[in-house]
Amino acid sequence: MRILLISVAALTLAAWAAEVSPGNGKLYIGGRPGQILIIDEASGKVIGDIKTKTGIPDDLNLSEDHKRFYFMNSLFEDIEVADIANRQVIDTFRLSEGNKKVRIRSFEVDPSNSFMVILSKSATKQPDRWEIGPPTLQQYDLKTHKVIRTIPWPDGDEREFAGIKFSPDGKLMYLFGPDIIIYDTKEFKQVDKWELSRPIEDGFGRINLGSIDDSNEEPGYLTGLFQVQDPVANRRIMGVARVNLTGKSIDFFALGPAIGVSFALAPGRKFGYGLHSEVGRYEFWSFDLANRKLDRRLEFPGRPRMSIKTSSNGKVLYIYNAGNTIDLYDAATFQYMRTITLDTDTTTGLYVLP
Amino acid sequence: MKHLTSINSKAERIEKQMAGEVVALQQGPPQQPPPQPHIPLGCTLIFSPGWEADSSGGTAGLCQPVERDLYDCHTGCFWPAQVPDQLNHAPDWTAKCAAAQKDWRKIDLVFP
Repeated sequence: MRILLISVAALTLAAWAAEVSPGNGKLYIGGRPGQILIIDEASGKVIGDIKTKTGIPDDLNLSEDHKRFYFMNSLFEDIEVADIANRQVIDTFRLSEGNKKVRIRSFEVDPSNSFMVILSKSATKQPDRWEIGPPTLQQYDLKTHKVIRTIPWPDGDEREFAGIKFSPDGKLMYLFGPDIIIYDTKEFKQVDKWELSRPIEDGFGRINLGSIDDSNEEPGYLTGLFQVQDPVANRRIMGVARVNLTGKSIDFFALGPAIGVSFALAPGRKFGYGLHSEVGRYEFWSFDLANRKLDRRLEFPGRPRMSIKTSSNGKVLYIYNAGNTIDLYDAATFQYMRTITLDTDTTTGLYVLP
Repeated sequence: MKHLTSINSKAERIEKQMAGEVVALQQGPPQQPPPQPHIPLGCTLIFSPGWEADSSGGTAGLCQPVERDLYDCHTGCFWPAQVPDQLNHAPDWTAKCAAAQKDWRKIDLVFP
């Protein structure tokens, strides 16, 4: 009996020792009621936090130099700037004033951290009514805390939502829509237009970019999944696309019939991972980007509302969102490893930094 | 029983369309899609706090833990739910509750 117990203990220890390490980075994720948690990746322990000043964090964004976080609060009214090294909020501001409430829908900070472009909508309280303003795109100076200018919508076509990116040198701003509108960042005038609404090849439908991840990408590139109409077979097909914003080109390959899958790019950009979720059915997908093909897919006991991120060394997958847990899965086998349980429900995306 | 009589050509076409085989507890013709549940948009259309269904009419698609739905109905998913108006009138109603599954008893009572 003793020999048996010793053998079992030895096997357990061996299994623990053989468990894949996620790396030695740090995880950052926003949580209720007002904090950004800092988790040691190797041990899975919370090692600190950044206390927010305006409540529940939402829409967490990492600066281009990886030194700051920018985020909104859950009331969509305040923006906070956090210094990652000092673990402190260093600035907050809002656009609301007097009887005018300005709700921020999205924002993007320029690579030099000097200004941000904010998409917002206002509601002004009048004696007998609320006046709802149009969706507005504005350049906001982070040092003087002043709106520098209102950026005109392309062709006067107001948009309720807008995806924005800057070029690596900060000289251009890309406004995503059916086409990509390119502005210079001195005067914010349109200087170019990338007509993605047109097929990029003869006999090919229009490319619709879906889930995109640039966290492990080179500056100026985006990698993600896309869907396109196959006019011959009259069906939607999906694939992986790498978008070169500066060169205005797309490198892509098709995978098969279209299905809803999220996407996370692994460090090294040789693999990508995704999640397919239906009610009661959840699948891991992996994409072999080097050999331009679907690698594997496997059904697993997931949960509704999942997000996926790769660990700092790409060997572990983090499953999080809508709850106070982060589940760890082995990226090579999709086998469940363990769960990090937090004292707070998470409210933002997960960032993995060295 | 037949209470209605068709009196124009369109009504006759409808009558012909309806005159198929009577299918009782059998499965319908295979080409017909299964009937979909009628789910009202969000919880607020039914005044029954706690009532909730996912997009398929079941509960398997709700958040897990299910307590988390209380938060994300109105902040993450913007699913109309019977919760306080956090944006305008009760911004701090969950300020004492970090994890819904563990601390839901600490959520504030908010009266209109």
